[in-house]
Amino acid sequence: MIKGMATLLGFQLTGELAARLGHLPISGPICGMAALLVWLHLKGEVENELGKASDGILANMAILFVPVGVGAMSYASLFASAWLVIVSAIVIGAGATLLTTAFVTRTLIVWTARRVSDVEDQGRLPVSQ
Amino acid sequence: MDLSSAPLLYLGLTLAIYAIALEINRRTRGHPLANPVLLSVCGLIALLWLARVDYQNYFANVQLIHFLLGPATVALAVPLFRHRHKVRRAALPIIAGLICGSAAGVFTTVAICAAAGIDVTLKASLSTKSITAPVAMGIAEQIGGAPSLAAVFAVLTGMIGAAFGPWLLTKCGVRASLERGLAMGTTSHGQGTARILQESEEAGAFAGLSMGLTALGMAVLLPLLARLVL
Repeated sequence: MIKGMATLLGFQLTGELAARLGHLPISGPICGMAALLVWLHLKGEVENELGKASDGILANMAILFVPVGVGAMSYASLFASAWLVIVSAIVIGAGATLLTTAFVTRTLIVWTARRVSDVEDQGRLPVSQ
Repeated sequence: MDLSSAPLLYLGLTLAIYAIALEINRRTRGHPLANPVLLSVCGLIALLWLARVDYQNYFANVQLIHFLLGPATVALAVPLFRHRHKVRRAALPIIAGLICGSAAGVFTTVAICAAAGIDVTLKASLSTKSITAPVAMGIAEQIGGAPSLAAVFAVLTGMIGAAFGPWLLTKCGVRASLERGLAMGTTSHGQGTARILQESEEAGAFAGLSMGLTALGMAVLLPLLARLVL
């Protein structure tokens, strides 16, 4: 667990350094995630300790958003005056993103699968069992 | 020791309220309104308001929880790596879905704001709401928004998406973990990922991927887009 946590922090640090030194517009932890992914790719496996630490922290990830969420209390007056716009923008915007993402992905997956099977039917590719 | 300004009190309080929220969520069999983060945030705001504790004081004392967001984000690489074969196979549909979904979100948000005639700061801060909070703050600042407001909107969007997203997806007949995870990550970033991880690790992997890619893509595209639409 400790070794796994140290690995995660090490990659976060790597990510922060890369983001700052490279003046990247992306946050350090996201860079760290990319760096860890590359590392896992090179190693070819997730070692036990890292797997345990990651699974543990990800299983409880939701609580980590509570401190920033409570920050909404600082904007009480803004919410009082513009709540309708804020709520509709958030709800409608989120709904639009959610369904567009799901349906575009679904449609393209079905479409590419059909094309592959068409090609296979014509016997140009061996059908893998 | 002054207990009212010590991490012990606020960390304990936050964990206790979250534990109660989890219990309520369990007893209501995961009702969307009983989302643990939503309940905890409402409960804590009510308590802090009643006790007249200001937010800066609270936040400074729960830094430990907030800090763990960093390593948690890095840890998302693990489920992603475990499901890499599926990601690679559907790379093109995934990227197209992310771009269309993010664009749909930004355009509807900007349209609603324009219709309501609200100012640029609020509009810019709202347009980054589907990006993970730390990245949203940076982008919002770049395009004329307020970083702290952007963080709050990002978390609110995460909360709404985590609460109602899975329900809406099921209603609309979206059942495969790939699409469910992807849609949740693109819309509600880390919170959507945390929520959908409870359904399956595979869905969580796709959510983590889409959260990372959305942050990456939007960091580059949104400042360009903002010049056109804001």
